[in-house]
Amino acid sequence: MLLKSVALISVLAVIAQSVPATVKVLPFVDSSLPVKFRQVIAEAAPRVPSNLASYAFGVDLSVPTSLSQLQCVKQAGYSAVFVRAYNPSGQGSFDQNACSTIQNAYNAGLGTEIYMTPQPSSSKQGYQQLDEIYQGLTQVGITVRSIWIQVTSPTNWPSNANNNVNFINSIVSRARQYGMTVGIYTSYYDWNQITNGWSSIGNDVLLWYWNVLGGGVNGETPANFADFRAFGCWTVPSVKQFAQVEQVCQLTVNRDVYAAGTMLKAADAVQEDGKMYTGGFISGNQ
Amino acid sequence: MISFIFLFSLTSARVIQSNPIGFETIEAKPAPEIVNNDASYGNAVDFSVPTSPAIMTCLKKAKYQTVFIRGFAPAGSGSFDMNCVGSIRNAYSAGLGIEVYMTPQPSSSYQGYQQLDILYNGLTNNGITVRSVWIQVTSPSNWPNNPTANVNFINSIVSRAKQYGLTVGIYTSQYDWSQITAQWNTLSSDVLLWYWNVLGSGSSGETKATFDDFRAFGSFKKASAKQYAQVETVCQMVVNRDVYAVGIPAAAAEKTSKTENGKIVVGGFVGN
Repeated sequence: MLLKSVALISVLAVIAQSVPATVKVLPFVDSSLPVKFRQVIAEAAPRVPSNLASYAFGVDLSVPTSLSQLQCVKQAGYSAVFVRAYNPSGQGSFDQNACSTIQNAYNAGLGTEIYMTPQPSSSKQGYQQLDEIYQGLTQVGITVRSIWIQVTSPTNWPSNANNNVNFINSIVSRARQYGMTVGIYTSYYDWNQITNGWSSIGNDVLLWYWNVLGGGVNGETPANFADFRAFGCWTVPSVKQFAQVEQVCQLTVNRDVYAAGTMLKAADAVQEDGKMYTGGFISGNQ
Repeated sequence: MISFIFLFSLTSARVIQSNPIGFETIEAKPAPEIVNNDASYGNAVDFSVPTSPAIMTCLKKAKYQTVFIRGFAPAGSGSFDMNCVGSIRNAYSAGLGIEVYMTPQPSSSYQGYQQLDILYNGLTNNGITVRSVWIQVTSPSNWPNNPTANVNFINSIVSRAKQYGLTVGIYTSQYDWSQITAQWNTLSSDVLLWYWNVLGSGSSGETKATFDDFRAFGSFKKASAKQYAQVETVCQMVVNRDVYAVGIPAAAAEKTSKTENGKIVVGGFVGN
């Protein structure tokens, strides 16, 4: 082994000697190395305007919450929380935090919607991942009326658009079988990158799109749908994420708007059968 | 249990088969005319298709001052884009400024610096002197899911270009940079930025032809160029449209393409 390394080193030394002095031998240390990655730190979000009649505000999050935090969120003028119900790490799994967050939101008088961040590279198929969410929530007495499927971050998806379409379709079909309303959380660029502009997902599928100029307050776009342009099969959006990675009530969240008229009152939803519902607060009718 | 699962999967399979997969096709339509009177911005188009002398003359008449031409194509292992030689000559004849960009192939057996060499040699062998080069870092789905490898790859190109004495710029967006390099922020500050932001393709997806929507990211504190429109036709050619910083307006008039020792010079038209 030692002999081999010695042989290798002497071969390299000979090669190094034969390279003309005027040409730098690669790899060489560049001033931009060692590689550093910028970390994004959440700063406090601006206030929700009190007189904006046409849009309602929500936050979306994937962190655990407490009742007092969500009461604070309600006080701050938000009407709904979009909660992550599926964690993509590893093979993907039901996000247990969703149970308590939905409970807390219900007690705080906030509407809830759930979203899943699926794991397209999992050994579990799309419909199996949806099943895990459905079972996870129904087991704790939560009735799921709608679900949003996150189709963002092209780098986390395989490069084969057809496979990605089939994977998403598997989730959408299963959700429909359960009688849920289905929505996709994406952007026109994500949709192009991941599904190659798939335009036949079905008219019943809603759209939650995002557009920011960067993270934090400095990167926000206006809290309205003015920057929406039709793509895929969508001609109108239902929700827009206009701010990313900000602090609201000490929670790191993204911020969203949706058409206010479509929202059911959280209280009404509670009355039905005494059961707790998640979803159904956003409709496609504009 | 097994039959239940079987039944379920049959059900799922049936639903999938009933929806044939349709993909949106994007058709390029004519671009609006230039009405921007702000002298601190130059107008440009960028493209990767072959051109003719007539097209270049038409672009000049349509008030575009500079063209960004693709000099390296990513298909296969990546190669010198032969179309660029003719386009550069046509642009020069029409009196347009010329910049060259490369769309590298991160999954190639050629390393970053080798791809830059291919571009550099391709241009110099055709009597073209290069002053600057722009490296395209977009479309995360075309890059490996490995930010460190991607950073090393890009660095290899940047370093080689600097060895040749070229000004280097990156053509990217905040989201592309975040996806592909995990927000790498130690690229040296002399590397320029050409960023893009559109709401969709075509004229309905344009954003403003200004740098107002630029937000600092990575190591980039300012922008030198912005692509604000994608996939439109100008002079019957499919292009994207750009604005770039020309610095002092008086100096802009002097920035026409020139020759050195009989060779066409490309690059250096985009100021800081």
